[in-house]
Amino acid sequence: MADGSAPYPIVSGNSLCFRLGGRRAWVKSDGSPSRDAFVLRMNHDTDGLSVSLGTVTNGEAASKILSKTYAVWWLIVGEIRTVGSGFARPVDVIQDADDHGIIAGLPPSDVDLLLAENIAKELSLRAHCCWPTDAASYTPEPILK
Amino acid sequence: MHQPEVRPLTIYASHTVGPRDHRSMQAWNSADMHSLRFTSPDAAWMTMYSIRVGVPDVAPARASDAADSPFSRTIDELDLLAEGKLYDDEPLPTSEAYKTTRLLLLRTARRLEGVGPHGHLLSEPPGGVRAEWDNGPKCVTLMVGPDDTARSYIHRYGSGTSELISLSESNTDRDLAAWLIWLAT
Repeated sequence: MADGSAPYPIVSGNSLCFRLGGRRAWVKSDGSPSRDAFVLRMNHDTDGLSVSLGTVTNGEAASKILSKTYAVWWLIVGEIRTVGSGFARPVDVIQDADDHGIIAGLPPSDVDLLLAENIAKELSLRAHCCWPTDAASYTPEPILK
Repeated sequence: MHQPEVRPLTIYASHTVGPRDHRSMQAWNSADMHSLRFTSPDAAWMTMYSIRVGVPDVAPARASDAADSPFSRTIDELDLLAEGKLYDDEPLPTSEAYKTTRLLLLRTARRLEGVGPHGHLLSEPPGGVRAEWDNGPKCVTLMVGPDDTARSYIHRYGSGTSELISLSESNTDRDLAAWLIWLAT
């Protein structure tokens, strides 16, 4: 809510939203996301998967939101809705703050594991790394302690 | 005095069907030689059995047949994950999840004769292990829960296929190997 009462408008299908890679393990060697980054967990993600949008317009800005971010992936909101349609699910991106929204309508893995995994795959295919900018050479090497 | 841990042995049986057609038949996990059973769909074609004994199922060293294959690298990385050395911010898998995953990957490697794709490994909080294999629109997932009360499964999706099998319901290494071959084709 922008002022605590008025809802945000429907997010345009042409808008970008950004999924943050807050876990190093979510970043694959080519910079693409692990499908795990798009699996909804009931005990952790209450309403949906967090995305940055609105006042956040690029990967650099998105990378500064969390204390640790290993990668940022952009998705087109309209494509996220299309993924939901493909599974007859009302998947949508709903803005809930000036710089934040959620991907709502995803099945929690606790409820429908197969569907959760399938949708996670489709979303990961539509997620493109935009931070770090040299993601193609970004390889999270094993941390040898 | 250190007592070596007693571990089950994998026993391979293979047969020669023709002069150039040698293939692995079956693998057992058995500490008892008497449990071996030889079968052949057509004894007339069978010319030789060979048995290899002595590869521990949970070996301390790299154990796939093709030591430098992408698939065996996945097993190496599982070891690093379990030691907290693969990532600096991932929770450690439980010992049970680690052992179950490693045994399954080793058995799968043998079915694939060591040749298979590299899997992306990560922890599945709390204490589970997740492995992901992707090839374009197709994917295979292995999820091992922290203990036997948690859901553990393999999953595949893509090209009109959508399937999920619980680990407890299947001959999982056989299915995982078949699905990884499906993934590559």
